[in-house]
Amino acid sequence: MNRRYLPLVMLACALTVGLFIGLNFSSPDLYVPENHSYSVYHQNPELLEMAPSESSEMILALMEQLMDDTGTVVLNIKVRDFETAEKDLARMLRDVRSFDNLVVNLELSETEIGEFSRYSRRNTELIQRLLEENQRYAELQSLVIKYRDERNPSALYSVTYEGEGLKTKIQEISRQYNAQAPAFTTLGTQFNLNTSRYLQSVSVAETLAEEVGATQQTRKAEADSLKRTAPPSPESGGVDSVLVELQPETASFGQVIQVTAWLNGREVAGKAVDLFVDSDRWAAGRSDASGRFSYRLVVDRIRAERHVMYAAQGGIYSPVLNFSITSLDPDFSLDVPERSGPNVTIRGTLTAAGRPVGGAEVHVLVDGYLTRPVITRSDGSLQTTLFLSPGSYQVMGSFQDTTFPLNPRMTSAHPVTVGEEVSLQSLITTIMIYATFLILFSMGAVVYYRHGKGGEPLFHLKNPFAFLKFSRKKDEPQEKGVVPPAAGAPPRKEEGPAPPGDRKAALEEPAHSQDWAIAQFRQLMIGGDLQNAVHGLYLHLRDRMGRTYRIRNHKALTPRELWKFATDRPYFGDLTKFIHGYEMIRYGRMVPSAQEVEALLQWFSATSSAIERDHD
Amino acid sequence: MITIRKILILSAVIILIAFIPLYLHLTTTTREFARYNQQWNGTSLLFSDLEGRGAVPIRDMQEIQAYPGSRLLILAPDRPFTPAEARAVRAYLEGGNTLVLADDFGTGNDLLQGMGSGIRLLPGNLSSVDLYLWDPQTGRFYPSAVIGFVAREDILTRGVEEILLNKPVALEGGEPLAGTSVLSWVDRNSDQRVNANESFGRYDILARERVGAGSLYVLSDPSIFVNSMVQLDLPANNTRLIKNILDAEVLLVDQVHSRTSAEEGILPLLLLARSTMIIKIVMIALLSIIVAVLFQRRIL
Repeated sequence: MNRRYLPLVMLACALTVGLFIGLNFSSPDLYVPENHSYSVYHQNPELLEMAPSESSEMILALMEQLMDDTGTVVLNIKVRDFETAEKDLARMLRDVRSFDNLVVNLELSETEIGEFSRYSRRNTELIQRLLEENQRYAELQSLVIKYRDERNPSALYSVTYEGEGLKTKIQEISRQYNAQAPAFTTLGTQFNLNTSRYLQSVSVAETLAEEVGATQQTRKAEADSLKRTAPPSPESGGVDSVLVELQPETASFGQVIQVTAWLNGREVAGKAVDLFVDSDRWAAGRSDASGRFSYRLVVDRIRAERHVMYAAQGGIYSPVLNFSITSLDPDFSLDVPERSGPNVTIRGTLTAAGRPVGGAEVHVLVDGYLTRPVITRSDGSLQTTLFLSPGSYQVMGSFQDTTFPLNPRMTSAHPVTVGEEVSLQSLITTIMIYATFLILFSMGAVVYYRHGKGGEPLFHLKNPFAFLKFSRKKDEPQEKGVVPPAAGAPPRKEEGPAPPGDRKAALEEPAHSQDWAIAQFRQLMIGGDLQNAVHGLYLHLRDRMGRTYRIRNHKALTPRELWKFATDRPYFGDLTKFIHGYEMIRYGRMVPSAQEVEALLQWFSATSSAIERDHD
Repeated sequence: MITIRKILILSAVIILIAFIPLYLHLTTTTREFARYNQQWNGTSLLFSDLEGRGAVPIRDMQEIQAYPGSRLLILAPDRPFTPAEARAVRAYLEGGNTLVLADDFGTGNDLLQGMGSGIRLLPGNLSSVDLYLWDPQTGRFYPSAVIGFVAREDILTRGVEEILLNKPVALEGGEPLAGTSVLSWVDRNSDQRVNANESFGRYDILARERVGAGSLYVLSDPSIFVNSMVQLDLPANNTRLIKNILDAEVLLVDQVHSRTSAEEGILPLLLLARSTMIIKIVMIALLSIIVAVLFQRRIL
């Protein structure tokens, strides 16, 4: 390769490398382990971390614990140790939550483990209700004793009817608890779990329901007996009996159950009538002139199970009726999430049988994790805003509010991607870094093209010799043999030739004569800059030869190459002496005497004149 | 003062720095399990250990008969075994030698079938709730990073309780020496979840079979030998297991069928150059001459 192209090629290569580095400086992606992490044969453990110590041993232990807990809690309910039962239940709830999280973390929701988790959650919910209803039933027991002692048949009836509602609830809970036992036991057996305590809890819950039924029967008989022997209650106010009727006996969400109560007796008009569902006062009103009270029970927030209903006027109670609420599948959907920076707005609608489901609790799941609950508005709509860190997520809705007669429902998943927010500061930094690279390399390129090759100074003032002159240290001792500046000589800056034009004019254009070069030489000598003074002479000769003999790329020539070029020239002898002297001073750091300087100038002048003659 | 010469030197330095990765790229390989692959998925560390132990590379399966009382290691085979080779291996085992075959998705079943073994590698990623890798940033667990449990003590499992596997398969047949917990499944669709057609159960990962006077061991994951796994600092006993496998009076290493022998492109030439002293000297001398010429011609 022609050597004059070599620097160009190298600079181009370096420029390319530099540009490439500059382009990737702010976010280098030349090599990161993630770029080479995928393999069908193995995961790269270097990119991952050791997983927390969730193991099958722990999971199986937790599963067994969840099964055992049921037995403990139900047994404590049976022996009426509600305080201990509450504590056990609280622990069980914690265990269930831990297990749920574990299942989500390990992405086991769709497995038998996930199924076990769902059964456990349902078991806990049923046991919690069983505890609450039994506590209430136990509280009624003290009232029964009190009213019996007071021989108050009206109050005793009231308590007995409330107990009737609780009995139905407890029996329903027991039935539901029993209903899922076979599937839950099968799962437990599959994982070699000990199911005996769980099965015991099922049996105890059944016994509890039976006991409540028997107790209710006794209470009712006592109330009837007391009523027969006690005088009529003043609260009845002429009402002898109350009857109630409902239609239909089975309904689902959004449907209406028409309830009618009749008062029989001497004075039935305008009487206060209360309607009870599961021992809770559901509605109240007054009878019309015929002693009739009508009520439209719209099935909304009521559990999907069997319920009891009765009406009461004063101390007079109607017979107890049963009705059933069945569950149906709701329509639950989420709109495409709207993203604004890290904030993601989720909107959706929950309806069932064409009617909005208001006041229901729903959850938004982000990658399977529950976020805070959202309550639907009266029109069934919901809205919540989540703050998500950069990444890709799957967002879906979950409805599991069992206080509504609606089946659990999950929406389809919506993908959401939250990107990195580019701050203005980082953007400016990136631009500045890139710009700095560009400027540096551009400067390099400009300097290269302006000054060619060969170790020449890059940055010059208008007068190149003036710049070179200042490169000498001020406190450097005066070189021996050099003529000191004349007394009264003006300062250097003023005495510098500083001809119009710049370095290009000085070195590239043959505008300056031999005398001009000698004048520069002398001035630099006066300034004590011997090295650059002789170099200026050499450059003059080199340029003059280059232009005279049309030497290509003459600026790259070394003194020896220049000397070789002039081998057959008549001034070869003078040039030889000049080059020798130049090298002695320039490279050999020799300090010439005044005579030697004059000789050097003589050889220079002779050579320069001869070249000029050749040029002519 | 900045000169053109300094720019040239700087350029040369930049270019040289840029060429270092190129050299590294050319003198290594990224092929899975390759002995010259120094990255996470290579086996350069294992082979460094094997060289230190004086293991004999086998380039023709008929050679193994010449090493009585030895142990043959076949890692991640991906080239087919001929019937003659399978017969040779069987004869080798019947002669009282030991074969350790570590494979998951390769041609191990061909060898097992060809030599009449009852052990088989089952298709599909074996996964487990007993896992050891996760990504804390995404919260994602990697169930194919399976923890296996030693079920029976043997010369290979002595002192080993747990084995960390990396995308293994399940084994069928033979005498099980190690297996997974009951919360494991074969992830047939590789979605890292248990789906409807996948169910939990225990699966074998290391099995033994007597063949004549010799023993055949099948490990369902060769990934335990790759660099990133060998370097794992874990409480589990992979290091001990590997030591047990390599501790043999005479150790033979298959280089006929194994992915570990993968060499491609100009790699063999460069490796030869790198490992041959005279070529190294010549290269250094050439570089020195080039630099000297550049200086002499005042290019540098």
